[in-house]
Amino acid sequence: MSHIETSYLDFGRLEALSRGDSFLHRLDPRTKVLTTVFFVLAVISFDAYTVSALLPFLLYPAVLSGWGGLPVGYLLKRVSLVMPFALMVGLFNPLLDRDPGATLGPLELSGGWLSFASILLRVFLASSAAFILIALTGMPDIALALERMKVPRIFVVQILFVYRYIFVLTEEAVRMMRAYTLRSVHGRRPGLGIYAQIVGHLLLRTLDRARRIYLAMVSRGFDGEVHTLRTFHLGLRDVIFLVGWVSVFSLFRYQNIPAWIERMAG
Amino acid sequence: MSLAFKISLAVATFSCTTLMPDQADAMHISEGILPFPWAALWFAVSLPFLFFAVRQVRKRAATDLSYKPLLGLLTATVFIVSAMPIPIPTAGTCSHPCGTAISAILLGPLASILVGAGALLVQALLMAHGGISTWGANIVSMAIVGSVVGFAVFKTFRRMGAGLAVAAFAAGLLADWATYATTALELAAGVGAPGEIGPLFLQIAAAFVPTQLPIGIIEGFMASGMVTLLAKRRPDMLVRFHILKPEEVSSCL
Repeated sequence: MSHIETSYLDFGRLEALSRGDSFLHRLDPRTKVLTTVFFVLAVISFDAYTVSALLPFLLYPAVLSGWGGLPVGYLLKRVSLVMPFALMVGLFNPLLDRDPGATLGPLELSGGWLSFASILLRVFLASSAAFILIALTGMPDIALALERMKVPRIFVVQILFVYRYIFVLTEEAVRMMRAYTLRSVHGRRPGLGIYAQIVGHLLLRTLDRARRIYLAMVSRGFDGEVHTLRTFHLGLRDVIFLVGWVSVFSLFRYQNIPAWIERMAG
Repeated sequence: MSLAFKISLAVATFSCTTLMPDQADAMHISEGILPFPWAALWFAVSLPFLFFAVRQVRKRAATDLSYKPLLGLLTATVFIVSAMPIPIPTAGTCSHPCGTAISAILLGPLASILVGAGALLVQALLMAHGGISTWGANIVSMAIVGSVVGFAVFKTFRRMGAGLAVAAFAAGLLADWATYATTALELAAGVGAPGEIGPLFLQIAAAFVPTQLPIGIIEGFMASGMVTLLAKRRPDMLVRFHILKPEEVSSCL
């Protein structure tokens, strides 16, 4: 129960963060979506042993979370949820790949350590960029941005419906799981039989609710489309933001800045 | 790619699926794991399926206004079901079902692909399950393979005269295993050198076995239970979804 209830509370917190009023929140969602996509593509385009050239990319999440007033502790906690996979992918590399990879001052690092650090960095960077996008924009605006970017409307409408219903259905699922836990001995998790019944009844309630919601929507003039009063405007600051960051990403991608600084200092 | 990287990937897959499945969701490939060429390739593979899925859903929604909200609610249900932890008796831990088999049985493979793709995007952004760069790979393994295999198995078993419960069980079981086999292939292809993908695929697939073998069976029971419950309580829905003909309602179980 705690897992799904925690997720539910997390959705609410993300929704609250996306209602902020920094200049990043006010940017056109298309700008933020495109910038995030360019960032992620730049990060995953490096080879498995790249570490130092990835470090400058930390600037993007650092700057955006600062400007957007996002709680850094929360960002790190969210990103830490995906780190176990990356950690385990790289964990045994230092033990098994002992070929010389690079030198750090007097230390000689093996290829295993490099690939371990690289995978951690890439997952951290890409995951934090995705988190920053949702926290600064919100799911409904991301969906509408996708529509303006020629993603089929039927798909966008689905995302909007899903986002609306997730809150309602998660509440329903949490209630069902809580009712079970309160009636069970020592708050044990449901066995398979009970679990199947809970999921089955959730589906039944969903279908009933779908009928009620459809009738309510039709009575309010639903014509098959989801209309919004939000209008988007791509202004000069959006162009500057997008072009500026894409230029920075290109510089970081094609110039190894830490190596360049080392050469300058040396 | 080094031998060390490949061995550790197999160990990682095993560890994530058995030691900490509540923290690391193994059926989604995490953000940043796949290199760019493979991330792009899997996205390109998913595009034709998404094109035909959009075309079919658009056609059905044009004649049935209630189809879009229904699809949205079922997507949300798949999203929530796949976030609910279920116990794995053999591993002594919990993991998550895919949920695509039941949507494929109810909606058909194409609409189910669209449902899966939508749920995966929302999961990637809201819950950090999967990612933007691995969206295409996750669409292929979970939405496309899960839906196509689930639907094909269900229809095949029904044509062979199997009851709803048996056909849904087989669909849930094989859709789940096919999803994990594809995930293993994607991981192997993403990190293995050409010519070594086969052995690496077998290593990763073997690492998935301790949890995925039982969770496939559980997913089969779950799909079977849901279809049986619908047949008992709401047979009209099964008729609407073209799973049963009206004359079959009384003798469906």
